[in-house]
Amino acid sequence: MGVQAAQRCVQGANEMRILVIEDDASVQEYIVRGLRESGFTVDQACDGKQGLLRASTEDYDALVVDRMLPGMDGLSIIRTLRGADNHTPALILSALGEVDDRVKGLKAGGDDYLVKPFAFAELLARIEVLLRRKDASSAVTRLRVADLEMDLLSHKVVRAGRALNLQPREFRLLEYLMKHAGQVVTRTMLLENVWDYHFDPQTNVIDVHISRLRQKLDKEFDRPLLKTVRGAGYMLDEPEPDPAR
Amino acid sequence: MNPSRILHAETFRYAVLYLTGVSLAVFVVLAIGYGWVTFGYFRDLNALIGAEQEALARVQAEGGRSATAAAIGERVQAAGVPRLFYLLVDAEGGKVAGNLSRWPERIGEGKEWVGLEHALEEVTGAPAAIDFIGSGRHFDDGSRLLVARHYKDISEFLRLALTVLLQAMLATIIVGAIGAALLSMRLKRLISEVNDSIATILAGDLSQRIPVLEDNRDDDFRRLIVNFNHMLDRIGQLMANLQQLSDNIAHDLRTPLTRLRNRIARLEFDDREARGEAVAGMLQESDDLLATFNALLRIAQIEAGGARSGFAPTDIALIVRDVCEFYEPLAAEKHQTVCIDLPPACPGVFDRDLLFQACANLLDNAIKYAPRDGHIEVTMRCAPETVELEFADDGPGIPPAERERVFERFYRVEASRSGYPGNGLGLSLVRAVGNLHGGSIELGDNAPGLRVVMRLPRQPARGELTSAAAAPAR
Repeated sequence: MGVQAAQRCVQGANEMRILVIEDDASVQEYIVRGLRESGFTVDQACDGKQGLLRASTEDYDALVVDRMLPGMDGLSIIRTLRGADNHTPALILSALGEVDDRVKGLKAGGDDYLVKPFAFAELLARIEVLLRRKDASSAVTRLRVADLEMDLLSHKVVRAGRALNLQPREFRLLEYLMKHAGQVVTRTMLLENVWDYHFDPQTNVIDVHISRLRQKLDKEFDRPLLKTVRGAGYMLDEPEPDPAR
Repeated sequence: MNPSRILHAETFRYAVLYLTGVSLAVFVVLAIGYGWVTFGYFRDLNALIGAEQEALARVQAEGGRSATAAAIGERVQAAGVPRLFYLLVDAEGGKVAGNLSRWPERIGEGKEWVGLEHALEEVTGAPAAIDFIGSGRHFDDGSRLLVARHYKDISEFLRLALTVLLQAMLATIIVGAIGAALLSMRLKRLISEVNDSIATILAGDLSQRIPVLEDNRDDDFRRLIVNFNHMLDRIGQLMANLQQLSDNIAHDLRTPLTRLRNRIARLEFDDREARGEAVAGMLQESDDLLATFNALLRIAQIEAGGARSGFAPTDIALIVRDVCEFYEPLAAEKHQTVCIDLPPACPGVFDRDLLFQACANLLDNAIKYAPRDGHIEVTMRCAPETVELEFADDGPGIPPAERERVFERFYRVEASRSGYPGNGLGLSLVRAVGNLHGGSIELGDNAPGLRVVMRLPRQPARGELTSAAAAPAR
């Protein structure tokens, strides 16, 4: 379900190439198979040196790099690539998973950080955000999804000509969802980017926030924009599933 | 115990080494004493001979050779047993006076002192072993004076002393060696008892303790054993905790895993629609499991104390305000009022993510356990050194007997096991975060409800901020 929904939004991205550098065969298998099923072209490397070689000689759209690797660790690979002016977005995988390591990983030039064990939907959602980030470089002041419009300067949100009255946090939540329209956004991604905290909510608080937003966003309209992707997170998207997309 | 084992025993070797060292030291001290006594004796002897010569030289100067000869004659007569020997010879070497018969050949000129053993032996006819010391002197008229003294008494004394010394040392070494062997045997026995006990304990019987010796002396060895036993107690306690923990983990994870397994097993009998539902449920179940695992790992990492680089200057009031804002919708859903009393700012050095997590867990609990339409109070008192955070609810509270246990992983108050969701890790994490910050957590009664007070120092106690200060504030 979650994977299917996510898959849909990357159709047409078949040309996207991803390199997975991971030494644990079963984790690699899990990631590679999942990514291939989601429509990516995936290459793999199982040690640090081989990974660096492939990453620096071939052209990839994103890298998934394990933190601990034989030969050369993941952070060194990314540091080396960044030193050579290679800015392929890189997602670091780690079994360590504390704030410490996240900071180190991001400092080394990683673009995102995911802690094992993780749900595949989480990985996929984050990779898609990384891929999108690559081409969305210019500064935007207006966001638009279907009949929903957001002005980032005046902080005004209008749907079908009707102004929506959002709290500051709801505004940021919607802004993030709109910036990643058509992509699955997980709960932890929302926490990290909207609330700016890295933590683990024990309850469904995010869902409550989302349902509040949904009240304002979709309640008085026929076609809901904000969808729940079960087992993964949320997605703001054009209301009607468009088979041509 | 067989002798070769004694000889190889470490204690025996130490004892022998020590004994050798002491013997050497004693020998050196005694040798110096011997030298000192000898030197003193001869110095006095020489002074005596010198003084006698001086006296006779004055007689010579006043009354000439005959007066000297008379004086020598008097002295020889006076000393029954000759203490001093005299010989006065004329320029040709003929004896003028004295109790020696002939001028010894080996005596030199001037005032030098000489050993006269052989010469005096022949002149006195005394046994060969008698030792003499003497001094010759030339007078202006060509006559020569010899004054000498035997030192048989002192050399005999010294010889005796040397013999006694060597025998005593020999005895010391023998007695010492026996003592060392005995000591070594005793220590060996003690140590092998301890070793045997340790071996048994290592083999798996952690309930064993090393027997403390009967005699009630409070020596180091006894203390060692007592401390070792305490260490075993502590290890046993930790192992029991670990056992309890792994039991809890196994129990708490088995339930959802079993549920998951059963759902999968049922899957093939479901029709298409029910299957969709089931898969969604299973995904949720796996996510919950992952969340539990992540929480466990996180607590373990925080407790290991490795996660220090998250510390950075930050405003704890802002963190708590964010937590309250984050949970506000949840409280609103239950129509609970949340009273927030925070200072405008309370800067300090904290790990903001972990504090957010800890406060989130506390507020989450408060919202969970406070009744519908209940009241929750979040209060912060910012003192110069510390900050005190209080979360109070009007829920069922925690009975005093269980207030310590709720911090254990997976421990849940029995009443809440059924009625409320949760994995029993929330407070473990709060405590771990509090400890990491060098703070304390206290559970109290809010009459009714639970009052949690968390006290944190605003600056970390130890200087572990070097790397964190350089990290950008996220």
